[in-house]
Amino acid sequence: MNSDPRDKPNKPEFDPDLAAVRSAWEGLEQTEPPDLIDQAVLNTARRHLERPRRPLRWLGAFASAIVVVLALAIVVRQDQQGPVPPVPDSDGFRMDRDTPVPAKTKQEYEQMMQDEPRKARPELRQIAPAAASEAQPMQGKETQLRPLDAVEEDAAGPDPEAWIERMLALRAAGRLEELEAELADFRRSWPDYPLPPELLD
Amino acid sequence: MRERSDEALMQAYAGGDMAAFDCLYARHRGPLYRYILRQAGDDATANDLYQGSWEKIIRARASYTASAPFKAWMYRIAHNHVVDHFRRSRPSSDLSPETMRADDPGPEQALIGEQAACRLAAAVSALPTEQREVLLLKLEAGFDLRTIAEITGVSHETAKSRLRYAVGKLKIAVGSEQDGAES
Repeated sequence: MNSDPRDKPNKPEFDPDLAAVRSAWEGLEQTEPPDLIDQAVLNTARRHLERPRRPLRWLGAFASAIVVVLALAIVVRQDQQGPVPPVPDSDGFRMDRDTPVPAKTKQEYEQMMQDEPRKARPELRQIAPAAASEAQPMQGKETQLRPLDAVEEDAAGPDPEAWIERMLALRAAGRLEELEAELADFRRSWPDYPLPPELLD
Repeated sequence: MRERSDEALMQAYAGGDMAAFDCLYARHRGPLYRYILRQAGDDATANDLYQGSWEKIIRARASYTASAPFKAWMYRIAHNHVVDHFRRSRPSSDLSPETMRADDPGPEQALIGEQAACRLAAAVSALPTEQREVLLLKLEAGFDLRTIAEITGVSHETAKSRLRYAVGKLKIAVGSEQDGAES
């Protein structure tokens, strides 16, 4: 392989010392790189051209960062919106996602309350909180709505001890007709409840 | 056919034209090799430094812009590679011209007295590293002082001073050679 002749500077030197040195320099042997080195360099140049370009490493990292940012944005947005509110149905009953939808309608429960009050109680307990929360804004007004305990008390009758106390008071007051009626009611509601001997007379 | 410039060849190679690199390499292989050889002092080191310089040039092809003269860019890469090599191999040495004098005789210096050319080469080997490099950039690569200053990273005045000192010392060797020839 030969050198390009342009590499030999042939401009006239204005410095006579440098011109003398250059003249002597051109007499030196023009050492060339060994052929093996030439081949090694050319092979390196060729290999670098044939080597496929590296994939853009930053692209993967960038995509991962975008995914993380989007996920965080979604989480933050959901936190700002708060939990999903329950959707009431047209009758005001709450439709909980975890609670199975009751198969019976409100009218059916009301009918059950009239027919068999005690039998309807467990199912009433499930729907009562939602109904009570719906009814709270109405508490300031004179309404006919009553707490669930009062409804249950009515269904089962008053507390037997209090009832007995009231009947003893009627007896002491000599209001025997009223006592007879209360006692009959008591027997219907609490047939097996023991009565004090004063009321058994 | 008009000859393509170095800059066009380098850009063509960066674009995948291997033939352009072949042409570029043939154009610069000799001067660059001698520039490195006269600084390295021995063939093995020179071969390593030469091959390493070209590898750096090849790797840097994508960053090369045609606005910069290719030849100066190539010699700057070679200069940095050679300087890095000597810093690693002689870390405690000072790179100033006064302390980097090549006291160890090179293989060419052993031939002093046998041939005039070898005497000159020996005189070059005896130059301080920085003066020798400036001289080589002038005589082998044909750069002007401004480009030599850019490649070596010194001021124009420093490059000029180094060249003047180097030429002065070589003139003595050339003069004694001529004296010897006349007598």
